[in-house]
Amino acid sequence: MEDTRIIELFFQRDETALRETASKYGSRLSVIARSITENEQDAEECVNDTYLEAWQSIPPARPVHLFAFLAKIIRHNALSVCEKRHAQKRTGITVELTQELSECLPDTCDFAKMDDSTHIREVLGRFLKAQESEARRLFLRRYFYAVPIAQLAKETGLSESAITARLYRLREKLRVCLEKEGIGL
Amino acid sequence: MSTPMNETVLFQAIGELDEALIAEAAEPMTPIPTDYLMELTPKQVKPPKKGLILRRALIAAAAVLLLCGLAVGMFAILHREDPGVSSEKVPLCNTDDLEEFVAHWQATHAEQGMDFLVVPVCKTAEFTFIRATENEYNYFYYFMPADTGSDLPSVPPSLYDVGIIVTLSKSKGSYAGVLDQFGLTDRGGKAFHAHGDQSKIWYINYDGYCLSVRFFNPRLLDEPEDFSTVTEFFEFLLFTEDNTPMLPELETGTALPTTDIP
Repeated sequence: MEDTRIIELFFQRDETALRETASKYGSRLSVIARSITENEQDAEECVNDTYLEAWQSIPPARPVHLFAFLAKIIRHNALSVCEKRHAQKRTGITVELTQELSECLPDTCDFAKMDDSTHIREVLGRFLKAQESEARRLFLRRYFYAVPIAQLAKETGLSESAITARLYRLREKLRVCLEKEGIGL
Repeated sequence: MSTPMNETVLFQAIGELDEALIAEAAEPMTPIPTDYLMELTPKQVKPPKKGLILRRALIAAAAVLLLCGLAVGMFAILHREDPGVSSEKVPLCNTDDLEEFVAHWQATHAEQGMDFLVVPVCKTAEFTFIRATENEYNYFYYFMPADTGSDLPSVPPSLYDVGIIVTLSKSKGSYAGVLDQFGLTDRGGKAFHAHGDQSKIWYINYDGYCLSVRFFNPRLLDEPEDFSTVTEFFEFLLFTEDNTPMLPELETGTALPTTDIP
């Protein structure tokens, strides 16, 4: 079923919307949740929470990209579940990803001092839009969808070291961009 | 250093990006071509339906101009006076020229985020080691001594005729480690071997000169977009800014090796 039709079902408060959403995107959402939580049960919980949240959000929200809309929710849910279940201890993948991203941050960066927390999102968005599509997708596959390096290598046909290197270069560019934008300075 | 909280904030901020961006990356990526030599072949794209004849005519004209340029270049090269092997005749073999070379490289390529090592080798230069870290790029210059009783006795004397070895790297290793990465301590003759699974060596041999370009940085190895073509890359290495050949005996048109050197 087309996304627009599923969204219409949400607007009509027809629970078929949930079944169609699960049928169309359930497995992909599970993959994201499993990548972040590294736990089948947690992932299942995240998926269900995501459906519920989508049900509560649509309407009034009318997402243009339904899967991206759901992916944002489940990513957030998965990170929240991780924090709850592991008592602030992050899972291996979140540690790995945040460590990689820490290279992007200027040494003096302190987000607590930032007045507008949306600024960084805007800068990130501008930065990614300025990149070539391939680089942008690679960055988001890694840092949004938490796709393992090995999987990215398999998808692209590049070596894992090549993927690592490309991501390194992107992080370096992002670091420069954040510095130029005065993030945290 | 940033705190873990800061790191998490950035990670979470990525989760709040525009849905259009996120949607674009939702599907698995498609294979990315890695073969440099593919850059030398015609792009495998469908020709446009409109203006095809004009397009072909322009390509043909460009090809003719290119051939003329090559012919002129060949003529110029073949009629150069043979300078022999000396530091005077190999522009990169003195400090000033090397710095110019580095400056040129920096001006033309540093913006692309490329780190590199430059290793000129000649018979007359004194051994020096300079590391410049005035910007985010690290440059390592090595001048190899000519006599075999030097600090590098394991380098075959024949290799002192090498005009230049250029290696691209983001090396943070020690001096010895860097040399090891170059393969200077363990190679023999002109048979270079790969060093580690990230190595790949391209080389061109000419009478009296051997230019080897050793890639062990996967960033360059797998990212041909740094240069449009392999030819472009080698032309950059082999010619100065005013198109003077750096290696007098250089002949154009020599095929590049298609595989790693075993």
